[in-house]
Amino acid sequence: MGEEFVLNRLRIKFMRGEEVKYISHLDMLKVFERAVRRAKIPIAYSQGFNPHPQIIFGLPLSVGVTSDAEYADFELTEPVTPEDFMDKLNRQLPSGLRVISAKHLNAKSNIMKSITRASYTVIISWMGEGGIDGVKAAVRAFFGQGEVLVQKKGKKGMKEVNIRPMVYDLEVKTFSDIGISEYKEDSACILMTVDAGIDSNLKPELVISSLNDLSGMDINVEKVHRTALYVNSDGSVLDPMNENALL
Amino acid sequence: MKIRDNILKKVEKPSRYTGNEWNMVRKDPKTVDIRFAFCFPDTYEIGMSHLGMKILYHLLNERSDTYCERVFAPWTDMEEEMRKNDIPLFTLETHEPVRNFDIVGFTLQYEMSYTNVINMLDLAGIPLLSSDREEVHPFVCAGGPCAYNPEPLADIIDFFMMGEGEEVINEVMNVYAAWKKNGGSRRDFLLEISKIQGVYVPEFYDVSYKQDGTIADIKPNIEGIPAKIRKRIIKDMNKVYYPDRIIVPYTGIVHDRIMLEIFRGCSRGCRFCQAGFVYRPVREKKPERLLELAEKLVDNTGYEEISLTSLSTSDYSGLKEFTGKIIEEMEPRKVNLSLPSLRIDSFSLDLMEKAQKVRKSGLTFAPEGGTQRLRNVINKGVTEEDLINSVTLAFSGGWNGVKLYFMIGLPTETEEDIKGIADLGNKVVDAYYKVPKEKRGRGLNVTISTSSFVPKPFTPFQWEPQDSIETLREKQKFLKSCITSKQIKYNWHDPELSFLEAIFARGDRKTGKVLIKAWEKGCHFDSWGEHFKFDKWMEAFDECGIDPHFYANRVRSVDEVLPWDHIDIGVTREFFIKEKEKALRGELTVNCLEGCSGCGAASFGGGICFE
Repeated sequence: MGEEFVLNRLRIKFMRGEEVKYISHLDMLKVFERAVRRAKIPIAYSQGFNPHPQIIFGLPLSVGVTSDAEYADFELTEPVTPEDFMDKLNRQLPSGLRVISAKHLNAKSNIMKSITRASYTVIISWMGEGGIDGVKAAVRAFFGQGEVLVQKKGKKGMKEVNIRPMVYDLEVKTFSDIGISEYKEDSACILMTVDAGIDSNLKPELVISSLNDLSGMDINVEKVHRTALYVNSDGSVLDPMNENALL
Repeated sequence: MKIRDNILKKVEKPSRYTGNEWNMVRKDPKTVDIRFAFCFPDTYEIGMSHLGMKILYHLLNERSDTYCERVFAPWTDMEEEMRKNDIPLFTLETHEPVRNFDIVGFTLQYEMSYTNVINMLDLAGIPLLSSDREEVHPFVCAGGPCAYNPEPLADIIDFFMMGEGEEVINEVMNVYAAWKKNGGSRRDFLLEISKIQGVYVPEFYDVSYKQDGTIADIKPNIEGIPAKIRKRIIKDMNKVYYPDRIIVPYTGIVHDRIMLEIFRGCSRGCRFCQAGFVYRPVREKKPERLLELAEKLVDNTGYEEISLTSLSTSDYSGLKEFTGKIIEEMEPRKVNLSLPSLRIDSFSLDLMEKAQKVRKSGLTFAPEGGTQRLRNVINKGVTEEDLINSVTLAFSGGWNGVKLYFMIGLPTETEEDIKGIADLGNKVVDAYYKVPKEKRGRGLNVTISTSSFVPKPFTPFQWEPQDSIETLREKQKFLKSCITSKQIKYNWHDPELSFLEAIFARGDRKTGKVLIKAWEKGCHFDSWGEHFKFDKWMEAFDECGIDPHFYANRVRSVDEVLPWDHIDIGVTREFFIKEKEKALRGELTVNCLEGCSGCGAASFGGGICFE
């Protein structure tokens, strides 16, 4: 097949805002399926007794989480230009959901299978002693250790996992650092890039829970926002809309 | 008003409270004269499945002077947060407090939602009693099938609208807009609308009682209003408003699909069925109109399924041609057709196979009575032969599950009738085994469900007593002992709940205080098993000095003044008496398609009575 684009497959990048952050992953599939029908986009359906529209989402987004970087792949029965696709779909999406780019996609790629990392901004707050210096110390301690063990809910109940190798980037920022002027006291932002996808997936809440263990503080997650997803393309970590990731 | 994240994060299914769904109507509240809060006294998932609310929501919002918004009963976890954080009941559109609205309207679909009406008023900060409301408060109105006996809520609701709402609600809004502009007292407004056909303002009617507790008289206490309130119907279903866009929820609701209403009313006249009488006469929508609506609704919602709704889909004239056309149009768009209330025959099985891409699992039958004698009493024109033929066809077509619905406690019921339910179940099982192995589906599954008979106003059985809880339970036990086949599963309804339904279905004004008392004791969401507190209800009756058996279990004479006698649904009392007598003799009455029985509904001047 080589490196040719098949014109009837498309990948979109979209945002999910506050208005729609409580929609579950399964319900989100329906939102897009219905928007596609309203838009009269020639979506392909699976064969078989109970045909499903050929839409594949990247990484499920937890209820309550907003995002600047969600992805989905669509298979169509006839070619549609990315511009036209984006325009038609955006007219039919509820406020809070917005497609920000669309590109042709090679038939071999599949967003769900290739996701490998995710970046998040987590707004935290804390009660009692410690302060922002305590949080910063916990982050330093995190990288200072060979392993960071946390309790993770698995298929067979709770188990202890070493999350240290699953974290690539972890930073504390004050609100003035990132240019937000007003936010309540005793709170800050944590920026992180962590494992995501089918093989290894780390929820940002678990990282925060490890910071609690390391600092002995009482840090709460106020808000989680996904800022980026990355795909693994022949060993390199790429933006899902990168030309090489689409091939 | 913004509902904070820290609250929404704590509750189950937060999208119940956030609004912003596709096709939600957005208006600037400052540009309208009337703000209408349309309240469904149950959860979002139930309320959003209700067709009447969809119609009236969009109909009211067609008016440029009105903004209609939706309100549902918050689930108990959300209610707790709201009470803890002083959040008053709010609408989903603007999240503004319901108490600031002009009109608050409830739809009454079942008796056991009455305590939710009270709870919602309380959460809104609106006085529970009509007599305690002042100029600053909204008007509280209600409609829906339970409004046909409005009396249990007469002290709570300011005005009721009887019958189909599409016209009367606009007439009331017109009066409201003028009244608001000119200024006047609450009483002025109520006086004005009480002259509109179908509007019932309880405070303008006095009820007097006899010594034995029955009603002596119900009459207006002012001049110039009708002694009898006559229900409203829509004469021409092809011209009446029907929304061509409906709200598409984010979270799974009970009926998450387009509902296409094909006709109103039912021609059958089953004697226990209130819907069969109050929605008379039968009025159909033309296939062309339905196809046009279906197309627009799919365009505007993107829904993957259309359900044909009516009380008895098989009775739609030209069903075959119509379903053929709609399937043909929807197939390329991958939109399925669902067909509830369909009589099972070779045509409908074939149709289901074509229309629904679902597994051949369950089919539903409602013989209601276990013997032919009893089925004749209730005028359910279905025979054992019909049923066995239908299930044999279904089994031969690969279906393997059958649900059978019956009622226990029907008038004249004997042990034999109950045993007959089990016998019928066994015969269905036999019919399955008579179908050659290679033709039938594997793993037979027969379910028998019994509900307990609740005598309803405006039926020939409105004078009948309900069996006591003990008797109903004995009958359920007896039926269980009669069911011996391992392939049959038996489900039954809670008789305590049916008992309460019977009380409030036929309750008078005196029962209203029991509703408030029970609510004070923590009763609401009564139809949700986990929240049903029967002992609290009995305490409430006791403390109010009201005998519940007087309403549920007493034989009423046909001469008695009934609490709903001032309501006129078109079908006459004389007809109901005649039907009751025929029932006791086991005589059938023909359905409206075969001949007219002179029920009185022809007085509306439309529908099947003139075709």
